[in-house]
Amino acid sequence: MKIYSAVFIGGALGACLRYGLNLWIHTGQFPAATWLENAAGSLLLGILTGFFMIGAKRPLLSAFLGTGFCGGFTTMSTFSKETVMLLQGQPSLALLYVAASLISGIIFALIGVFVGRRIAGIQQRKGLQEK
Amino acid sequence: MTLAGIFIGGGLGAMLRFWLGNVITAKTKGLSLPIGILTVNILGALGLGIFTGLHVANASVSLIIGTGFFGAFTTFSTFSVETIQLLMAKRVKESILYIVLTLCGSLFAFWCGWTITI
Repeated sequence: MKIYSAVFIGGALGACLRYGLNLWIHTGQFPAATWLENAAGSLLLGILTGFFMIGAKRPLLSAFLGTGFCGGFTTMSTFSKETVMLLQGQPSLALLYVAASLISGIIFALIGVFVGRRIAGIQQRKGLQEK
Repeated sequence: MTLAGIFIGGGLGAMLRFWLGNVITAKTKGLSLPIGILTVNILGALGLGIFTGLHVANASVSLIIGTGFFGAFTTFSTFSVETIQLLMAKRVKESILYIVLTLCGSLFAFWCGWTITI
């Protein structure tokens, strides 16, 4: 039950932050807000995944930050809606949106995994030195 | 009021994703693709398509359900990280299949939901 509460609060905060950024980021026809949110969320989830690959497992923190916050902050449904809407009149912009989202999501997730592993490695070495 | 609604809608969406993702993953253990989140994303896109087609006039309700619930129910970050994990495990074919299924599935699902209710 505790883990579900952690996912709930994380997801709720992620969704609210996404809503706030949607209001703040005003652009033309390109859905830059969702694009940036999906890229940033992929980076953060990459860092968390990389960190917990090496570091001690923290199920509640993972559920809150990873499944909850990153999951709630990023979205596939709005991405689909925006792409289908763009396809109605501007297919080239739709294609650009899909390519930009996909490439940035994957590259940021990859960078995140390496950064996360690195942070966990540094922490481990510090821990060993202190012992 | 709208923000409080998005908070609750987002929380419920994330919780439902966690539960459904776990249930599906447990039932499809032998498969090499992350079917749990794939299914969740396609279902969420279909749901948002239907909801968009209904043309709800109330802006707050539209934000709470669309941005809050369906937005948080589906996820792009887990999709990105799962793709990377497949690539890091040198399962290139599976990663490409996962990308294609997620993209085509979500876009087609949204379109289906949207056009049947329009």
